[in-house]
Amino acid sequence: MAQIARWQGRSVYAFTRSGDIAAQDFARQLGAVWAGASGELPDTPLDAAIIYAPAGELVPAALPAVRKGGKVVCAEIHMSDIPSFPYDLLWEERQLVSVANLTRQDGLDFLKIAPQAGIRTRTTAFPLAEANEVLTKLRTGQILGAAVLKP
Amino acid sequence: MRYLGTTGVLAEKQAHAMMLSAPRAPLQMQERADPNPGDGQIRVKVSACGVCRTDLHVVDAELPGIKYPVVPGHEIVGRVDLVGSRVTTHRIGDRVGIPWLGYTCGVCRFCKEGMVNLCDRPLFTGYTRDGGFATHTIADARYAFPLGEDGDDVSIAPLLCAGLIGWRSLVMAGGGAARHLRLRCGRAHRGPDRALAGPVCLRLHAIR
Repeated sequence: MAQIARWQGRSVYAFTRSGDIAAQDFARQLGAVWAGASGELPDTPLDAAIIYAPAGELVPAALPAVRKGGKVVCAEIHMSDIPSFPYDLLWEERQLVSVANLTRQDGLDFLKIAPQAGIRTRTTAFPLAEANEVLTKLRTGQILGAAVLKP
Repeated sequence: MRYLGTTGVLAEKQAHAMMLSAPRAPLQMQERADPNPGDGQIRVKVSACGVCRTDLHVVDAELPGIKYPVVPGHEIVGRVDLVGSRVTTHRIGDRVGIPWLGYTCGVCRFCKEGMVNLCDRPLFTGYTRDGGFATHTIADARYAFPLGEDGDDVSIAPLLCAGLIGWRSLVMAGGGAARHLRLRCGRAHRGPDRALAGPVCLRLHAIR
């Protein structure tokens, strides 16, 4: 996502768990112009915020960071309860939305753009017969990047 | 078993799949009768299939409505090797990518209004229909996206889930033509590698 956003010429601001320096460094490597903790506010109001974490408390944390008319997108299927927050955070036509699934057109658009944007993925290939071992490795955090099975 | 594809070439290899037969059971490699595509479907010879955390949710039976046995896997890259009737969009040999959303009904109000992502009766690859932990899979031609020839199959596979979800998020965030749009990327509570693959998949798997 960060690679596509950069390719589109957007400025990406990455928010991570407090103190997760490795994640912030990784975000900068991917082209983020700013990386910090989710409790911080950058000096520029953002046009939109996308939350890739199942943590409801990030919603009232994200709303103050977006400009008037800006959007906060919750991209998780599951999220913990969102704490109550002052209406002022939503006022001035800020929008709060969730993502359910892709449309067919999204798929066609993205897969056409991905090669043009030079999207890089980090993968490790395994034989199909090792699927159980790969699932175990994924479960225990032993896979760097994405695991891919090859028949 | 041998089959005669529409190319007239005899295929020697029996189809195999890693099957999930019961909740939390180990996947088992099984020979399968050569699958044949129905109306609007294609058969794809799988060349790569990404593994993501949603596959763990399927194996662990943490998602409702799993119909056993099922073949997991929903980040599929492969080539069309058989085309069903009424398919005009794909040809044998085309490289395609098959994502989580594997079928939409086409008749509910959401489908009719172009919001297939909100279909009332969807099927999901590797969950409610067989997926890509296999040598071959059957796909709805509408949800087998053309990939062209750029890039290798393994590198592309994760794009079918994490990449698509990231894209959809950008679209939802107002990702139109504005080139100076600033984006808040809230990656809190996620490891750095996961930003590109892995559990990002979880976000978009609408099952209700």
